[in-house]
Amino acid sequence: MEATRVVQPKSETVSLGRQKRRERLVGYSFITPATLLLLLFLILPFVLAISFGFTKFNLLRPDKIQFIGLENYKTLFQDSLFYKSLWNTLYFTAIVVPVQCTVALILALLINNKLKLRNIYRIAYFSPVVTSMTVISILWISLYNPNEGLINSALNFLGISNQPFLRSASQAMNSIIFMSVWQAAGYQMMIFLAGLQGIPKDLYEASAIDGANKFKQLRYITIPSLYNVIVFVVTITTIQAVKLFIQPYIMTNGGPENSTRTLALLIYQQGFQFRNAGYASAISVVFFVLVVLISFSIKRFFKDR
Amino acid sequence: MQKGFYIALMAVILLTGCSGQSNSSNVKEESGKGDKVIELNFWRPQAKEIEDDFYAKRIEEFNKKNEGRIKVKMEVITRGNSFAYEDKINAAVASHTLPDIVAMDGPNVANYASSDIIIPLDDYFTPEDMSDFVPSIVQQGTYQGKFYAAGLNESSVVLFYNKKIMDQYGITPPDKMENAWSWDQWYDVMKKTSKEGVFGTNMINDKGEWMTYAFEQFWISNGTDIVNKEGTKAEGFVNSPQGIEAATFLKKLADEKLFNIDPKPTEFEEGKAATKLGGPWNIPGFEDYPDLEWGITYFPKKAGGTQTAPSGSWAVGISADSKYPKESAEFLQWFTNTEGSMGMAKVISMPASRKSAFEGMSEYDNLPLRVIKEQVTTVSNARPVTPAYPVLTQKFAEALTDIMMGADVTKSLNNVAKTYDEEYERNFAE
Repeated sequence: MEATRVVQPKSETVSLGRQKRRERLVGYSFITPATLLLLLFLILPFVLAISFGFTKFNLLRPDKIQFIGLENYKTLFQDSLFYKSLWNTLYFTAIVVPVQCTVALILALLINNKLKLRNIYRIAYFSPVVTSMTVISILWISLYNPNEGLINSALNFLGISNQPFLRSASQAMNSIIFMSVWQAAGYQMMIFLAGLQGIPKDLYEASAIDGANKFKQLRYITIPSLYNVIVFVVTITTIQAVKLFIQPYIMTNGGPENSTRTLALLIYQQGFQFRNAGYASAISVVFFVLVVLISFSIKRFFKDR
Repeated sequence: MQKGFYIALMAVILLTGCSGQSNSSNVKEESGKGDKVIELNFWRPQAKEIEDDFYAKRIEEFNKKNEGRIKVKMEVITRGNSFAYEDKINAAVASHTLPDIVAMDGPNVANYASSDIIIPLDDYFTPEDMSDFVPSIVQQGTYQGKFYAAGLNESSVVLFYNKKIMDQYGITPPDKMENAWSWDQWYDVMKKTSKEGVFGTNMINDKGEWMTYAFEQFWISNGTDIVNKEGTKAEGFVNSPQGIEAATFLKKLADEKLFNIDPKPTEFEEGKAATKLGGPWNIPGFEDYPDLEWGITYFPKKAGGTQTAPSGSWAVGISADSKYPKESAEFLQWFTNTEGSMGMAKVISMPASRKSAFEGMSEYDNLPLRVIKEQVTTVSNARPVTPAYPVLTQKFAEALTDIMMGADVTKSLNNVAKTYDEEYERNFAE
């Protein structure tokens, strides 16, 4: 008797355990491909980057990697070009994020109205987004041409003399900012538009009865309702902005006088063009820390409200 | 079970994905005779179709000649952006999958040689070969006294001019090397011709390698260079008083808007530039503009300075990974012989790399092409031979572009010297 009483619950646990184990196995098997790919293409390179950061590693001499401790970081923090690139990256982000998000929101509000030809506007605003950034950059080089560019012709028509744009240290970054906002705002606009269409109409009707004007409706209904969308848009815009690479790579190659050199461009130049893989890894580790810090502070900023 | 299965599956996928094919030599058993055919791989970047076809034809010829013994297989690699080919070589170095025979841009020879990626060829080229190559080909292929890479063709930069514009202002460009324009004479020509939507010259091909390729000559003409002869030091060279004078001259042209910093590629062809610093590769394009009457004169020099002109081109070497260096060298020597050099020159209108090849081409005896031949065979200078060339060329091109856009000359050149010397010290000093 004693024995059967003990056996009974035991066999139950066993079958239950088997069931659970099987479920767990199925679960694992589903995540295995993703985990392996992440390990291989994200975690492993990241760990390698950290360890290469402590070495002298000429890309052409993988047989002669040399451990040099914190030497790369010491060089890095004395490298004026690093600080310049860091400043350029932060400047670009600080301007682009608020401007681009505001422009996108205004565009979304405009085309959310029942305008005639609304779809044409939508296509017009969105088409730069689906065009390759490289193509757009090349196109804007000729628009910005200091001698015969279209923008300068327009300025001449208004009585303003030719501007150097990309070919001047003081205007190059702002020229890239202007063009980047124009290119990318359509993407954020689409997200805002989706958010706008999710706001119930009756809120506006009720507020109109209570005497709210258009501006008050925007201030007290539209923006609060879009809160989550705004958080999302600001976060992705920031991450995109910090990674700025294609525009300066194609349009200015970081110049003039390094005024458009960003961290991503600096890493590329050191790692692939100068073949200093060790030093480039050290910069990317610092860059990674920076991106994490920025992402956290955005999260913090919105959480506090 | 399932977990194990998936892991095994992934492992198989990853392994097959990663292993790939080794690019180095294969030995194939010839079915009938039992003789071994040595298969050699050859990488080169994609070029214009007629050039690719020429390579393919020459290789076919070689394979036919050596049937049953050596077989060369060419892989043409797209360049995409200008560094995709070099990136592919970098990756192949890391995984030891370089081909036996590899093409490289002239200034990269020292870089690859110092990294032991390619092997010296002195044992395979005869003294007659070496004296037949134009001096600049030997110069660009030599690193620390050893010869590493041979070229099929040379390149040069000349001053093209628009005949109609020259006639309009009564200017006669020189047709003898000893009368070549000095910088100041060239400046006067630009000053005269630069008006009404016409620039005095067109000299920005791109803002990358071109800047070093074309404008280093201004330093050389003024009796200095951008690094010392050994390639170990830039301080006191790129920013020497003569160097600063050269850069100041270029800045003057920019300040007075005598050239367009962002020119249309066909500015000269459309008659919107009176002169143009360009190369033989421009000539085929001129034919699309029947209204254009053009001539060639010599690369401008500093008054009383050295007559010089840029040079350098793609060269071919043998990788250290090759199991058959002897056979590879045999191919290379045959491939870059007089016949090859001449054939290439005819196909892509780039000057030949061998003096004997010029002898077989009468078109180079008369104007306009005579100017190119004279420059290539007598006064050309290759770009600096240094393992830190990638840093040098990038930084020099950046500085010169900045200067043309208004940056301070001394400050920009000092920065090149400092960056280069630090880089050399850190990575290449013995």
